[in-house]
Amino acid sequence: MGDEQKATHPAAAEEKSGASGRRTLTFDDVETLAAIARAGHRSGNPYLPEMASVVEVIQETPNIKSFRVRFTDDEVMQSFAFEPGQVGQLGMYGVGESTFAINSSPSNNDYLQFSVMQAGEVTTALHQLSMGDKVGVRAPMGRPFPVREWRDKNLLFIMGGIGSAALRATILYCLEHREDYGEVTILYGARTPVDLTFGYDIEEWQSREDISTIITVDAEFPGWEGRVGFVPTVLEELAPEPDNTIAALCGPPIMIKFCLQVLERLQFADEQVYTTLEKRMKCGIGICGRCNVGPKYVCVDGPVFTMAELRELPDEL
Amino acid sequence: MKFLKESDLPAFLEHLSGEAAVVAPAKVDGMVRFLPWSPGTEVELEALLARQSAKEFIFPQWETFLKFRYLMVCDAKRPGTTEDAKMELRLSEEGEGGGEVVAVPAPAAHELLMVGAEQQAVSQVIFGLRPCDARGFVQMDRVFGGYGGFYFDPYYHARRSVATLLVVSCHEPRSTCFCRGVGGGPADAEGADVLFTRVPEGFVAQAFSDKGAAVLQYPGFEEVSEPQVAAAEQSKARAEEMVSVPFELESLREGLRANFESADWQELSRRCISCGTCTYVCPNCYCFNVTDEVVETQGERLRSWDNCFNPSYTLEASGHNPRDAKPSRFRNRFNHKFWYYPEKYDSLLCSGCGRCITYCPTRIDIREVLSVMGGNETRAAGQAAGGAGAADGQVAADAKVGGDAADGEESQHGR
Amino acid sequence: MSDRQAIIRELAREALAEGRIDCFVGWGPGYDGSQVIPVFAKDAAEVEELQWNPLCHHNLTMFLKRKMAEPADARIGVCVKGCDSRTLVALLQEGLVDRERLYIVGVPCDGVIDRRKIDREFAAEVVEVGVNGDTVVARTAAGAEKHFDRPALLLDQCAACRFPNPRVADDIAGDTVPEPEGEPVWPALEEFESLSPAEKDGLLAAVFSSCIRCFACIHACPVCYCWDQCVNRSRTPALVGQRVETPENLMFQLVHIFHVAGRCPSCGACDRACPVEIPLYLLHQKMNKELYDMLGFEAGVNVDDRPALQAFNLDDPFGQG
Repeated sequence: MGDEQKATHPAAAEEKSGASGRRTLTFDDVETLAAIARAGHRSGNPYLPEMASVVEVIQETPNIKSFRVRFTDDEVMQSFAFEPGQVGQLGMYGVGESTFAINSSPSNNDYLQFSVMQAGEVTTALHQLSMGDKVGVRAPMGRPFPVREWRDKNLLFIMGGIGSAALRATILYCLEHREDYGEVTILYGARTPVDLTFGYDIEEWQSREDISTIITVDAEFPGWEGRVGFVPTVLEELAPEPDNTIAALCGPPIMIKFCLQVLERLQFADEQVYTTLEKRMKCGIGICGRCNVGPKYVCVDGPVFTMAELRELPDEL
Repeated sequence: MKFLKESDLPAFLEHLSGEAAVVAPAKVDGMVRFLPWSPGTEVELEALLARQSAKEFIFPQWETFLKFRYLMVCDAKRPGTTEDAKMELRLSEEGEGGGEVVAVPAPAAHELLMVGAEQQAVSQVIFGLRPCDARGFVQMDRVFGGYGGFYFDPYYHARRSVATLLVVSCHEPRSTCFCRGVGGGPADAEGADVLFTRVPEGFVAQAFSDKGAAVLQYPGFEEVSEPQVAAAEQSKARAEEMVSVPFELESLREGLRANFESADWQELSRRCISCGTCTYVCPNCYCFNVTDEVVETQGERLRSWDNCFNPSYTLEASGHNPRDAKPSRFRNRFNHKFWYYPEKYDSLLCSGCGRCITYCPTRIDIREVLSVMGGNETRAAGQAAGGAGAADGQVAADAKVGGDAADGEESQHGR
Repeated sequence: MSDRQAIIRELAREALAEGRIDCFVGWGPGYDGSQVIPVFAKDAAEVEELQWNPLCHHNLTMFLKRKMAEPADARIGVCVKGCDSRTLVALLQEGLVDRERLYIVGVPCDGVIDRRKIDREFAAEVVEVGVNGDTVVARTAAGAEKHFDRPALLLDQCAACRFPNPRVADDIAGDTVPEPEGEPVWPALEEFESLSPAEKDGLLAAVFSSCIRCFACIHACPVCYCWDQCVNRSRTPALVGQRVETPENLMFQLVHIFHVAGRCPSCGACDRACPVEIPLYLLHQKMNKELYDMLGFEAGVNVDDRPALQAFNLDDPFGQG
């Protein structure tokens, strides 16, 4: 992305306009988002991946690995920008691509991080990657979490299992801009302690006094001294106040289902609750047709949606 | 407007073939299809519709997005070498004393050479399109053309921008035509660079774009006469009258939205076998797949036609499939064409050609589906309750196999 | 013969009224006077649409495959001609349909009209077909009319049919028809087998250049019951690639032919479903002739048989002459 395009990036625009004309990125600002989404693609071909090298592989859990990748073109790496919640197509030439949230912080100029659970053809191949291997990246894509709209609100992040990957970039961003937000609570649960990702982050979050971090596992586990309970149960116990609060959740469908019920009981309005969807994707740019939920494509109209928006959509998640 | 003598058509096409690849409908083995034309090929214009649309010439059934090749270099064996050579990743040799020597590649020993696919396209002239065929391109242009600030598809655009569409208006409809039902018509010029209308001994030709005007510069065109213009208008008007409007379009989008959970989808999709024929013969179904095809260390990333009836179209790696049941996939096609696509791109995704009805193995009728979904409860004309069976002793003309016509009347449909 | 239609309607009506089935699958009128389509009748009014005539070509047992019928546990009445019943026998041989939930109405058949043989004779679209005894009348919308001799219009397979009566049925719609005796004959193959290998290659290349991988053949085939998980769609392993061109298309079809071998009675449903008229019946017949010559086996004849390629006998002539 050249300087020209960087100048139109909303974050940059805001920095330029300063106190007088803060340009708020609205959820409906499709044009701008499309420009952001296109920004990473050179030569005007949105199907052409950008070559990147694997610089680090982290075994998060037995079946989840995080890959830190760096664009082979340094200029691209330096000028790459994305909004928290946006995704990318990470692929191997000869195997194919799959969609993952970019879960490194947007302020990170050294690498992009993607966390991959081994499940199918592409993810199994990705799990064979080692340092120095070349991958293709098409990013950023999709509609992000509207983190600037959330300013001065309390934030409640609810995550289960690999769902943490979808929210990590957003959490990191909000923590980097901590003064812009009210209370910040992170609730993260997994089946067992072994299934918790981002141990390196959890430690840091738990050590911070200005945020509340609750880690839980589904059942008692040898050596685990922390909280025990399913995420929805713990959420209910926490009983967060809905006033001026945004809840962002991601995790297994069953967890989301029950958490939504809890949030409803706690009187959270549909507009206050955000989630991020996943679907089988191919093009990632709203053309191939397959990732739709009713009239919305998860790849361009999402993956971030509010509950209010999801209620409008037909039931084919 | 100009006039082209029927007998001059081959010379006209030959002239065009000097600068572009010409495609025209031709009959081979009893089937009419759009095929590359060369001098001597007879153009088939009696049959109304080619079996498939012409979309494959601008949106091919498969094409290469990019190519890639892995070069492997083993630094321990040949340090510093980046020559174009394939080597085994691990080399094993018997060392002295019988031990095994294994050469392990240094980190970052993989070097990847990738070539982006070219998007050059050959200029094409497609002659003999019907208005519904041409309209299909106009409808698809939106999704591939970045309408509404979405992405722009350079592969489609490369072919589309150098294609000239020469449309021949229809003289009569097939029993499955419903172009007027979707806002089109048998003599519509939408998408046409030139519209040809058959008149005695030739065609009246009218240009609708700069490309079309350039085509009409061909010296073989004659000045058009008043009677010829009048004959063309008459032919168009007559054809227009013959196409029925089998469902109401106004209420359709709302109807589809309201009927998403309706049990009617189960009923309507019962005889559907979830193949994909309808989508592949359609002038504007465009959903596609992207797959990597590899032989040893090199390969290509391909785009190929896919369709929402494919049972694994939406199958996720977890095993979850949002559209696992056949009725849900069936529903998706109609919703996409008449609700989702219009909502996103301000255009229908159907031009009423009726091929999906003709070639469906069980003759699923889109008109019936849309009638029911649009709130019109009765079935579309042509679908009878209680068809007449063949009866011994009756006069042959009365012994119809199916359809709704009472004895002695012509079938309602198409009139 | 025409009372077969009345009998089918009667049987369907009774089975529905008595609550023995949820739905009856037969043939009925299509979108114009020349089309017949599968019909799912659920009440007396819908039963009145059911027809029987020589255009009733669909093999309705394709709807008995897993995940074709909704709901999955429906009790289904189904009409079968002789050839259709053989695919049903093949499904029963492998335990793929629950006999308890089926009500089978067998329809003895003296031939199905090949619609293509009519269409080929007209420049314009045929919108009406009437059958009266051995005379068939076809008409276009403009009124152009032609008369045909019914026997000349039959599907190629009907000329060689040795199982015109259903092999399995709960009730039969009318009298059975005479059944030819003797060994199978393969008239469709005479010309094909006289071609040299190079000529055969040429023929296959020509016809498979038209294939559009629509999967109509596979989905229409009653014994292609993996249909929604077909190996031809598989990416792991990817046996067939996405280059839709002759070598891959031929591989695609060969996978289908070999997979159904031993269960395919050459009902021709695949051939009729193909939108580009690839001669699939011919190719399946060739496979079946090879099977017959090798193992003396014909698919779908007796429910108690095992499909030839799922049984091994030490006397099997593999590798011999």
